[in-house]
Amino acid sequence: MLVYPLIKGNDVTGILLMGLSVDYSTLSNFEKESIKNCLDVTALLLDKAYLYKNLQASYEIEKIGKEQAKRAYEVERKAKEDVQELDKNKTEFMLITQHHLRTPLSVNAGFLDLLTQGEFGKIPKKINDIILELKESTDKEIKVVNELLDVSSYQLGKELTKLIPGVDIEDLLNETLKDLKIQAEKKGIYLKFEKEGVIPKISSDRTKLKIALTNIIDNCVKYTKQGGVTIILKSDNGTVIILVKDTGMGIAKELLPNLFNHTFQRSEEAKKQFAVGKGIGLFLSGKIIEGHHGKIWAESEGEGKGSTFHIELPVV
Amino acid sequence: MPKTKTKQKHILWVEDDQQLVDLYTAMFIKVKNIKVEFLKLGQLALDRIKEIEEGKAEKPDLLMLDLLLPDINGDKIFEQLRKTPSTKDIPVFILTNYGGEQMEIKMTKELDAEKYLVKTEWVPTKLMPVILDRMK
Repeated sequence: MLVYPLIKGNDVTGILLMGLSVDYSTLSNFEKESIKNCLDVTALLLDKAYLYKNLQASYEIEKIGKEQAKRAYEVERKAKEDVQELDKNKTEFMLITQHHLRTPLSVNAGFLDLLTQGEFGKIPKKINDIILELKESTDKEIKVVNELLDVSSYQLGKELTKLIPGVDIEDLLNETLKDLKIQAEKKGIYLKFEKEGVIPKISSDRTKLKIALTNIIDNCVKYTKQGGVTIILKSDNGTVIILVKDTGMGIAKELLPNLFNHTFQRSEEAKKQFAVGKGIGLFLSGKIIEGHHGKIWAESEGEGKGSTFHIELPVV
Repeated sequence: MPKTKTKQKHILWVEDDQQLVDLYTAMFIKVKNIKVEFLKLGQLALDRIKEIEEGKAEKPDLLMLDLLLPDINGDKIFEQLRKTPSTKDIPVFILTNYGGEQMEIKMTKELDAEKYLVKTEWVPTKLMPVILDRMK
């Protein structure tokens, strides 16, 4: 019996037993060498067989791993698709809802417009006053419906801010104030605009920034009964700064940190005074300023002490 | 001398809401030289395009088009209008309550709507001068 160790590196990986019909010591050197060679080849073959087996096992593991990864990818892709589909459906749903909300409102607004323009003849003053009330509330409702869609678009991230360079902010503010001046005059409060130094042009989504500025200034006008609103435009260190200061009812301290993060946020006092809230407007303004890579925050000494809105827009 | 009669202008107005049809009818009550015809379904508009192409119906001077209709969306009507040789040059005003930037871009840039008007904003006294101006 011949005992032969199978060696791989420093390890004995097995033992080969070989039965001999003759005494090993009687074999010639050539025969002994031949047996050794034969055993070496067998050892090599066995080693390769192990290697192959191990390789196959690892290949199997890899295959399973790949399949699992593929399945996970599929699940992820499907989930992404579902979310996109949901987003699309939600936007579509909002657009259709808005359409349905607007249709009866446009009938109201349309007929009220014809009535107030005297298209149906002269109307007694008492009735005309009622018509004007109806017109005002219809206009308010139209505004809320419009804002609702804007908010939902922003929440979905659909409506991205498209920044275009070379926007003259002074010009934009003048345009915004022109629309709000009548409102301030009606209330008997002032609306002042002050410019300090040279103002560089900025990259901006003009239409959206106008909405944000209108919302903020309109908010100040609305909540100011005496005194007025001052808008200061200045520039500092690559930033355009807009301050909107009012002498109005102020903002409670606890509302300040989240003023632009939440929709429908209004103080108890504001709720008492006005039926239609401006919470949507501030939320929307915050999103628009965010889209300009800018900052917005409000400061107030407390309720009844006025408030200041700070807007900082980078000059890029 | 016989009176020279100027040809009456024709507006084809695709609008499904009866109350809005009433409103726009009231808006045109004093206007004599413009005929306004309302179509309340998308299919009726598609049929009309076919009839114009076949020479069976009069070609309007302006198409006022709503987008959300009970049967076919307005953009399909618009596309068909532009594909049809006899109607491809009819000016189109979109008058809708369907908002959304994408739709506005599609209607005014991809297609060639002259105006994209939102009904709540374009109340009669604002809308009327725009239409009359285009009818000159």
